[in-house]
Amino acid sequence: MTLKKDQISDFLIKGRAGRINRRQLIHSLGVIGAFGAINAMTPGGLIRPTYAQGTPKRGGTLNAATIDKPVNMDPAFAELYSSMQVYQNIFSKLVNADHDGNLLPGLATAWRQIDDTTWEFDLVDNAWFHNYEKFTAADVKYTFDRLADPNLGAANLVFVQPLEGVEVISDTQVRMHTKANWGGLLLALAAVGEIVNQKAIESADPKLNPIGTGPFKFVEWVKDDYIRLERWDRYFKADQPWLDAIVFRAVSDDTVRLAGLQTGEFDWIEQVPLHRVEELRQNPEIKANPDGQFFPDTFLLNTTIEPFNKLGVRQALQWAMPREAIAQVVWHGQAAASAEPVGPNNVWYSGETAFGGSPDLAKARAALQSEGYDSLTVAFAAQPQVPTQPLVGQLMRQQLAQIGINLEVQSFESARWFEELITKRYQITGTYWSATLDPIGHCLSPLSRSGSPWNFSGFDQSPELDAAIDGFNFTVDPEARKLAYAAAVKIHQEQAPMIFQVNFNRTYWTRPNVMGTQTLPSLELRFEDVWIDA
Amino acid sequence: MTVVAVRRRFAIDRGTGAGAAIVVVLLALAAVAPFISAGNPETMDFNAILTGPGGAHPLGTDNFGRDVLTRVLFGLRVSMAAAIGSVAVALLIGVPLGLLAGYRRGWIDAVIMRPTDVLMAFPAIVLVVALAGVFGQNLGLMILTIGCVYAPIIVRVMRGAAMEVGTALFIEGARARGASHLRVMVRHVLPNAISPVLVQASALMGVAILTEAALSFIGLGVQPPTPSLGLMLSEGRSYMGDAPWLVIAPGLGIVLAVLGFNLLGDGIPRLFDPARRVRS
Amino acid sequence: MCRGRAVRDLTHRLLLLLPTLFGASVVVFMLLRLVPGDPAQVIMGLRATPEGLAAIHRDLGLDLPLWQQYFTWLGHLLRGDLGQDYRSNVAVTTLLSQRLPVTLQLTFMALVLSLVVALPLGVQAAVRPGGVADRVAGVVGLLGISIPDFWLGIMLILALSLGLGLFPSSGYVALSDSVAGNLRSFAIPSITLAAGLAAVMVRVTRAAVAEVLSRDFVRFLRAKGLPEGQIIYRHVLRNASVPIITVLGLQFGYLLGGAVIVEQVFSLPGVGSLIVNAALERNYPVVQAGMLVVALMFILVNLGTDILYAVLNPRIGAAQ
Repeated sequence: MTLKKDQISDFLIKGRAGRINRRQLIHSLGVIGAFGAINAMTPGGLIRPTYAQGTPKRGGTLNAATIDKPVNMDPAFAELYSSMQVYQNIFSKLVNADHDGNLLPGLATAWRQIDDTTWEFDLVDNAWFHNYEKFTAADVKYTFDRLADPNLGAANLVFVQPLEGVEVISDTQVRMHTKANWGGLLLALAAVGEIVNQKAIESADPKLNPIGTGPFKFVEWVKDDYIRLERWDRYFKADQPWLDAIVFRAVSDDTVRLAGLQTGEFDWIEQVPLHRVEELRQNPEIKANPDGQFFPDTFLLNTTIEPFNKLGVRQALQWAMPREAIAQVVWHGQAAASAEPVGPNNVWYSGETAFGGSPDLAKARAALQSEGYDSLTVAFAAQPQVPTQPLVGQLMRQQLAQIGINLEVQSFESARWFEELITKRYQITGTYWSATLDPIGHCLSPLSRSGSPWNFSGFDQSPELDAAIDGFNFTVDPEARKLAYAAAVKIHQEQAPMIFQVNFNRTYWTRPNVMGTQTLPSLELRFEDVWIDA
Repeated sequence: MTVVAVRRRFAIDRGTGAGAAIVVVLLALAAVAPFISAGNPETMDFNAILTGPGGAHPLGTDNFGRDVLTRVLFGLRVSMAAAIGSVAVALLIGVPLGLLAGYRRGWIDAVIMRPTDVLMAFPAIVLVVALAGVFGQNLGLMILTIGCVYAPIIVRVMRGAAMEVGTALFIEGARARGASHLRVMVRHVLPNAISPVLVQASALMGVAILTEAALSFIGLGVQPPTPSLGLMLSEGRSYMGDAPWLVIAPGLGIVLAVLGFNLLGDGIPRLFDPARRVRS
Repeated sequence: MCRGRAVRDLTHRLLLLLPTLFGASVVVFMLLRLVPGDPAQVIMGLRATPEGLAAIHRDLGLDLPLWQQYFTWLGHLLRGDLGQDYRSNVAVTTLLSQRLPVTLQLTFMALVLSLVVALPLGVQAAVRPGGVADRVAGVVGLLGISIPDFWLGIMLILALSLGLGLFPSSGYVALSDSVAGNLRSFAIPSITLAAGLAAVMVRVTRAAVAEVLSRDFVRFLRAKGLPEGQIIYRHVLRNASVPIITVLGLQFGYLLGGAVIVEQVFSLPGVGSLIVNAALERNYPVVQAGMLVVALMFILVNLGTDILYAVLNPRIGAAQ
């Protein structure tokens, strides 16, 4: 079952990324999806975060419990969201986004667009890597050159493909050259592009030994048990971080994780059992931070084989989508029905509904029959490790049975699932896409634009969709981008290589004395802003 | 014939009788499940999510609004299939091999028993988990796997019993009369040696049910939406604090089934041994 | 003379150990080869190129004939190299050494718990047939083998943890962090695992003690006027210990298997949950190594039981 030669060269030709690490489980890629930033183009200025409650205090160890365990610490690979949750505290990016999508300075203090294809960034001069190398512009150049290196096969390359190169002007200034007028540059920098140090990369395995300029340095990793980070005293932001140390543990069972929070074993947890969210919000012993809808949950349809190579069959599915039911039954109300990459609360939300009135079973049946099918058997490839997937599968099975489609729910463990995905043997599967700041650049573009190495639907039937996506990506004017987004969404819905189900909430839960946590569109756990009230 | 007379005649004591009754009832329920319940274990009712026992749903509903009673009955079908299928496989493999090894002895015994001993070096669950990981989650394959993994036990028991019977005088007599080995094995040794094997087989039925449930529970067995008692336990676990019926009902189902087979198994020696008939 | 035969039997058994271990390693090795598909493809995934696949084939020795592959693997094994977790590149021996203590603690605690319950109950049941102890023993014996351990665990969590809040519902506290926390986190898992074993041990104890009680020498001791307690605990038990220990040894396999499920249910980081998670992930080097460790433990315990058996009662050892 080796990859056929033409499949391989396909990747090489069509995608600059070439090879992609197969562990790029889609649903875990930390920076794809949609949460818009109106002022994405705001030049740098010091915008203080607005969530702060009280005065931060120094000290304490935060015991954090995530859902999944991390796999590797090399930011070029972003193997799993669970890895990013950890290493995003070890590395820094040039710019960051806040809860509302505004851009904040990171390692870059100010930026400006000089011409259509050139951007200039001023850098801090007081940042140090954890190996005591000073941060300079050379590190920025090294980071992006490395990302683009075809021999590395870095997955995150897909998000900075229009970047052609980084030019060092001085120790504290760089210029970035892009292909065409790339509107998504800053959002991409806020999503990927953790700055690494050449000496560190070359002296030890970056997957196991992360060295960054971030607020916490890597101390110890006991596989399958915990990872420990400690405060970096030379962090370039004054006074921060407040915490002395963070210990990350992975607990896959929601109930167990919640119990750990309630007994004080954990100070911060990623998720509680969904059906208890409302009840727990009333509970005075634990605290939920302000949430946000940043995760779209979708169906991926394989458009290269039967039956989803036929437009009518895909549209039948769109007509039959029971989004409200999914939001209520599978997510226990912790999600909002949405037919596009973002949720209704989101600034980008267009409200386009090419299939208004769905679920409409009569229209669904008609669409199916228009392709000559009276009945159909389709296999849904579910990943039991993502608990909502088999649930959605079972619900869809019931729904689709009513229009003559027999949906068989098959379970594949992660590695097999990924194989089915990249070799395009699956017919339909589900995935979530972790939220981003750029609904097209980080979502529709990598997933549905023809030629993208992450186009797992194999979709290339619509030049109009490609044009709409490019139109969005290479526009800088915010108003024009909003219109371009709506247009792209509409075409995407009609073509349906991917079907958006819901957008679900992400809230973190903490002990009452933990302050400063928040859900961010990039889904970073920005623990540099967290403190423990004694 | 009075009940007492029947019990005396067939040397059935209370425990065995209860066991037999349980098994028969459960088998019957499993057989007629489609007809006596709501009929379809997959029907979802979004207006009745996680409701408690009572009314239209005697055992409550799950997180999809599916009737728990229906699912338990259909789950029993899977359990019974696992029990009967696996033991059948184990017997089909184990009895001939054990018979051969115990009766013929010599190099045949060595050839059969060495691999058997090796397989028995692994706790059964470990083998089943590893194999289930390889073979994926298909009920038929799982039954085959469980059967194969437990076959060595049958081989051993059969071999032990066959060895004992094989040395009896009447066997020698049969051989002297010119009966072939095969005939002697099947007509003389087997019927007299089968009793401990049947006890073991009955115990294995219970074990097979537990194994299938355990596999489904940890995710290596039957997959949703097929109802399996073990799967229902694992699915219900997240809601256990608010909806305990989701874990109590399927669990009791498993316990009853296994209990029935164990009680039945305990009574088999008494059936075969007139000297141990119960005095009324 | 009798001891001589016992020693010979033991030697025979020790010699059989090697082929058994050898056979077990073959079984474990074949497991990976049963997997459909190309392991190199599984490892490389999307990064696969023809050159890369060929390189991995050479590294893993997949281009060699099967028997040669086996001996290479065996060679690594004997040198203590159990391969790497193919996802994270951590040496499997490291993983195992981290997780073995947890499994050992769990099985040990379950063993102690079950014996503490089963032995006195079984003895009392045999001493007074038809009495309370006897009836309780009967019920325990039957229920213990009928109740699925993972269900018992869930019910105990429901009652003791969610209901009464006495114990944590799962999670593991290392001994080095807190002894009290560690014992509490093992409480319900040990009880769960002990239940099935206790059931079997009660039955065996009752049967063994009853058998010994019916022997002549007991009547003789009673006639001599020895107090009943002394008779039971010094003489009867010693004679009954042989079948009890034998069954205990055999049941160790059950304990190990049960530990696999219980560790998974209670999220204890032991070898059992390692095997299950690795099986779910198709992480074969880890599954193989786990199976070998478990098999080795089982074989060693059985051997130990045989030795103990021969030592305690050379007469019986020779008569086998």
